[in-house]
Amino acid sequence: MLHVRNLEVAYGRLQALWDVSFEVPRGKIVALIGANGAGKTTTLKTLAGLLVPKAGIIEFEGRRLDGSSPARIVRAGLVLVPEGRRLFPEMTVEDNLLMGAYATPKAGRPERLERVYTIFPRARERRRQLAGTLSGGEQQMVAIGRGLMADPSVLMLDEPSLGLAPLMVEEMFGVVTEINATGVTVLLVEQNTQHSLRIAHRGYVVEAGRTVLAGTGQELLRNDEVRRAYLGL
Amino acid sequence: MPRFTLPALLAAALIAAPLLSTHSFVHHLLIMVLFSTLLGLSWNLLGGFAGQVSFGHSAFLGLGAYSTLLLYLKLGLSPWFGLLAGGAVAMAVAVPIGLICFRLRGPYFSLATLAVAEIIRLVALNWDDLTAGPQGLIITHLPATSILGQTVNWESKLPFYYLIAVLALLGMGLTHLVARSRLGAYLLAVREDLESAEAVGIDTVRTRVLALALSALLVGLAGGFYGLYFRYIDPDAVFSVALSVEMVFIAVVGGIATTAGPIVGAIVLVGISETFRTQFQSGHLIFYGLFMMLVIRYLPDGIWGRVRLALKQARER
Repeated sequence: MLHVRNLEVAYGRLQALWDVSFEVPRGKIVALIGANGAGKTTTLKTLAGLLVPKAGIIEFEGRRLDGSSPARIVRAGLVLVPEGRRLFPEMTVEDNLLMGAYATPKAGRPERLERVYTIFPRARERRRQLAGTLSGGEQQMVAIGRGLMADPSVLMLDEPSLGLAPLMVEEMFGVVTEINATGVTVLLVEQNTQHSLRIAHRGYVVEAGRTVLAGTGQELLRNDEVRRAYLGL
Repeated sequence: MPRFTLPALLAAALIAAPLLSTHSFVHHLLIMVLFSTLLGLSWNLLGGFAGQVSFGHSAFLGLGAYSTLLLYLKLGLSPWFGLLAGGAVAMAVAVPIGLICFRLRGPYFSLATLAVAEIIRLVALNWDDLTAGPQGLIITHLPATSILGQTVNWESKLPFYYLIAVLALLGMGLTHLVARSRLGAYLLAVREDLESAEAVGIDTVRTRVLALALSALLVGLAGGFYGLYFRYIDPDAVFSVALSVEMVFIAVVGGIATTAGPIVGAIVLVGISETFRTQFQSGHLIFYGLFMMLVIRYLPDGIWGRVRLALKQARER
């Protein structure tokens, strides 16, 4: 459903991605793993239209999306939950969620809000609270909820477990699986290699701006190189 | 409190205020307060709600002023239509400027507005054929108008007071509507986190351009009023950086992103200027600056912002 081929991205004269290629099949969870600075976040930002690629192809449901504006990409159904949650801190939880529905027709919004509250009961409890006053874990859940409000066919999650307590990390990965089970395709960028490969159907290893290794989650978990470099085994 | 109580009280106060004194200096003060309110409201729409800090808002004020006076002097267009045309011209110029400058973020946008205002000032200063350059434009006579069967000859200050009162109310109404509307929510999202706003699919350039256009409309109207009231404009007066910065102060002192903030800021700042001006001449700016420092240090939410917070806390208790 999403094909990325030979993607190259540069920040001015500094090239961050040299050759990133991967596929995200419908209904699956795909994980991009790799060290700090490997280019994972850059890849997601480019897919979301926040960065413009220098070369390469992004094809989503048969349509070229490279070079499109973020607004059009969101409407096409490719939605990013940015790294570090990036909520609107001085808006209430509910307003944050509703803001996520910006690009969608009015009709389905109440149902989607209800669905998000069912997945995240704590967001419902705190819906009148300012988002900036939530704990890190709660904020991450609201950020994912905001992404779901855009009615994505592919949800891109950038480091959702970053800075969360171990128990929250468990819960978060549980939620990602749950969301995927409702039919939303997930593209997951993570440093928590172990966890993400365990829930991912497919994984890619990104190194120095290149996708260097691909396989199913299980294959990568057993791969010697991955075990040595990213799992410390 | 019923919904219309506050606006009705405000309108009543505005109608009654000038009748309390026949002194023309008092009327002048009231006019300056409302004029400053309008400036603050305009800046606040863009700088307060959308968080896009402009240091070049005098560009739009000057465009409004020059349009109004030039249309009257060169084409004989009634200045009261000219005033509206001034707002429209400011708005029309603002849109392409916004489309270009909103590619820049944060401080770079602010610097660009400063540069744009300087460019427009220099053009006005050197385009002698159109603007009469540094000489400026003077109107010696304003045609009498008939309003509701009454002939208004614009010799006294009272008609000007009511004109600016209407414009200031218009500005407050517009701000109130924007604050309550979806646009207001989008502006807030843009201010809070531009990247997240883009990630949820908001067209942030269009949203900001819209805010700039509304803001330019208000300050363009204010510019037209300025030209008619003072009957003299020159590039260094209406396109000055000092004027742009004053607009920032009015909004900040009153309370950023509030509807009533600019009127509070305008009362306080005009009050301070006029009080100290009589005693210290241009030394009054020292007090102005001192006051700004105190506000920024102790009331970062502005005076009205603080009051509003206190009221909210009292209600929740």
